[in-house]
Amino acid sequence: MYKLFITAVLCCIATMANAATLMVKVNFSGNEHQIADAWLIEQDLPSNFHLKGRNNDIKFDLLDKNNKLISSSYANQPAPIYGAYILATEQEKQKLRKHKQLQPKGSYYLRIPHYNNEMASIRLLYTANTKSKTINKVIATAVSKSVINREYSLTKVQFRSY
Amino acid sequence: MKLYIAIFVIFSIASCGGGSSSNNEVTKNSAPTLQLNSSAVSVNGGESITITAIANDSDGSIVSYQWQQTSGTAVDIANDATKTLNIIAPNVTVTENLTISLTVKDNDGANIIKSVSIQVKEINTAPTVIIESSHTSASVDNQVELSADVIDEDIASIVYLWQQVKGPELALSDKTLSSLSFVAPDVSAVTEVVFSLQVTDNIGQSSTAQTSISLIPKQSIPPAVNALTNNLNLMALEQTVLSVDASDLDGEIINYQWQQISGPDLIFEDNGVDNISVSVPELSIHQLATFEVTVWDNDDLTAKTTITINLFPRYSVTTVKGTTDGKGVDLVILAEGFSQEEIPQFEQAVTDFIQAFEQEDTIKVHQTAWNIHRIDSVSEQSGADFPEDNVYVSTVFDGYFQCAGIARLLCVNSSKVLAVTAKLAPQFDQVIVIVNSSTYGGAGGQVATFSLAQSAAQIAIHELGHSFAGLADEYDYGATDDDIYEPYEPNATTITNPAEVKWRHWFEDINNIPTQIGQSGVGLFEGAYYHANNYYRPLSNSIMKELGQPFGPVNAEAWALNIYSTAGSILSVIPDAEVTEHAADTPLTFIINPVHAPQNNKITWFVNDIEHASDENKPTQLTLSAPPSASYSVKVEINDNSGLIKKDTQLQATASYTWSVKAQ
Repeated sequence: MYKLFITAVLCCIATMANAATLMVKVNFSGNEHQIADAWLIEQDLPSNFHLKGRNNDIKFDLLDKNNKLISSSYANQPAPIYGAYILATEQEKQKLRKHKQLQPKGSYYLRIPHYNNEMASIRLLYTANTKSKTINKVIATAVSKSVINREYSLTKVQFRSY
Repeated sequence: MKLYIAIFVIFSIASCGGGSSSNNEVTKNSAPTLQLNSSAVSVNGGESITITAIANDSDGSIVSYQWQQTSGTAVDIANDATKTLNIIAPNVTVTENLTISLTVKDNDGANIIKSVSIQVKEINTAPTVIIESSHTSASVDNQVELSADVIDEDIASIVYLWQQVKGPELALSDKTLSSLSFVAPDVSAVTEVVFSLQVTDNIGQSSTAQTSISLIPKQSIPPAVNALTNNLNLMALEQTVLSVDASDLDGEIINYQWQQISGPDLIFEDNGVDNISVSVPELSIHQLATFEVTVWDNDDLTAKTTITINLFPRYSVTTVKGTTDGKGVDLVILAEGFSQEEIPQFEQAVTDFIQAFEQEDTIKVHQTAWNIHRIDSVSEQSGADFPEDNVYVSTVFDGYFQCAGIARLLCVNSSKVLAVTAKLAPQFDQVIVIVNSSTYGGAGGQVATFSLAQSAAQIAIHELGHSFAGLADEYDYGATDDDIYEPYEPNATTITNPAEVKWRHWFEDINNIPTQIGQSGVGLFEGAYYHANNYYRPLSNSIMKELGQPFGPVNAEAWALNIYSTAGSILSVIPDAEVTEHAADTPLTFIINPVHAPQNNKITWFVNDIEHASDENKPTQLTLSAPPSASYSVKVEINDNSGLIKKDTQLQATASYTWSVKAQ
């Protein structure tokens, strides 16, 4: 199991209306995740994440300005891509055995309901134990990955309408 | 300065050693005479000298010559018995006289001695000089140091004189010292400057040397500029700020220029700073806009970068099932590769998909949880790309087959899809894109896709199995000796110990593990996750293996659990406050509005922690005709009762709500 933390400090946020939803865009490239944008929408929407985590989910904690946990939630891993079964020649099968691909980079969105200015930061935590490698049924050393912490200020978070 | 010393040749006749005189019978012997002639009276060291003796004896004969050095640096006198003497003048550091004497004897024993002095002059060598320079080329403001390296064997004092013989006039330091310095000026082109140095010793002998230095025009480092906001996805009428980060290592950025070089005209004002605010106009079709940003530094050097923006119209969004409040599971379906004229085909494809979706045995159980929305994202052209065949069309989400080199893997630009969805349907939980192509293909994951091939709806459900329920593929592509990993997906494993298998709670017969292919019920069937061996699946066949098959219990459980994880169990409650009051003489009704159909829920009511029957034929409602006490609690518990969930370790399918009530 390994962990990654990304902390985005949301500071100096002006008092906002209670019925607001915070939308957060996170860009990822490999295992580097970076909050790229954030805005508020007036519609009070529920979260788009799980309240209970599954294996390999990305956990994110909402923290107040004293770094105290407000809530924890889970988002799906954004990178995997799966295909559907196709008839394949023997030559094609070799490539198709790696049918589960990973998007090298992309983005995902967190939808955080009931936004208020107590939400001072977001901490992302990747809790995957999927890399426990089994070779000939022998558990080998887990594969480690590097992660870069990023900070994103939401001082200019504003309402947007589309 | 040369020294010349007067030369004297001295012939001195020493006393004659004449024999004794007698008065009578004894004949008086005449002494010999002698004259010495030198080939030179003054020579340099190393030069040869020949001294010749002319001796006579008037009453007899000369019988011997004996040469001798009487002063000066010793020389080799080898032929001292002859009338001619050859010697080599010694090297001397100070001019001196070399004195050679000759004794001549006659046959009567009389002798005569004479000497000759020869001046041997010191040797003065001219000094030699080499110029050493701190630079062979110098840029502006470089301090250049020239120094003289003089060799003079005579240990003489040296006079220095520097001169600039070529190039622009420079401010030079003292030209009479052994070193010379100057600060390189700025020049417009490479310019050669030449210096000469004359060194003169105290004898007056001199040498000169020259050196040249190239003056180099100032080598300014050009600025650098990077886009901070690239590949943004903007909607029509949206405003945003584009910005760059520019720097100059040897100066500063003095100006920015923004210029839109492609795409529809965006409204912006260039104030010569590192950002601009842009406004997107109304659009009828997706387009690209490109800005070129030029920065200047204080040396008038420039750097450029471009910023590309994806622009999207405000597509029509239609809720085709459920609500728009985001409660439940919100599936957003987008069009890819449909032209404006083909949007009706997209609408039909959505309808077909929903029909198949709602009829699927597993999905229909929790059907009430789903809200489905359609975004009519029009493309400029129809279809999708086939990069390996060099077929490209202009579509809104860049859909393409042959993704990752796999012919039927159908990918889109998920960043664009999600950007449009997040802005137009921010309540989305799951996104699926219908690609307007009859070629078989699809993909699961963050953004699911499927094409309009035969069995399109089945492809869609298969891909949503990946995307929504996190399921693995259960098919295989033959035997392999690849390294194996334990998948995190709930329906694939490498583990064969029945007690450790993820879905052991669904095993039909725990004594039949692994399970023979073709047998019914949940077991452990070898072949999954693209490998014919070492990976196992729960059923002999399922939709994650073959289209048209059911999900099967393990996959259905994962699907159902994710329904609860995403949507919860309770949509709303009445009263909608946890602390509530009512008049004691007025009955109060408590209502729960579950996400799922009542028949799939077990709803239990408690009053002051004692189970209480719901209203008759209304399991979602409890009415208390009279309050049990002035303060009391009402709690409702809701559990999945569909039978799809056997194991819910995280209690995802369980929820409760408690009211604290005061009756007054």
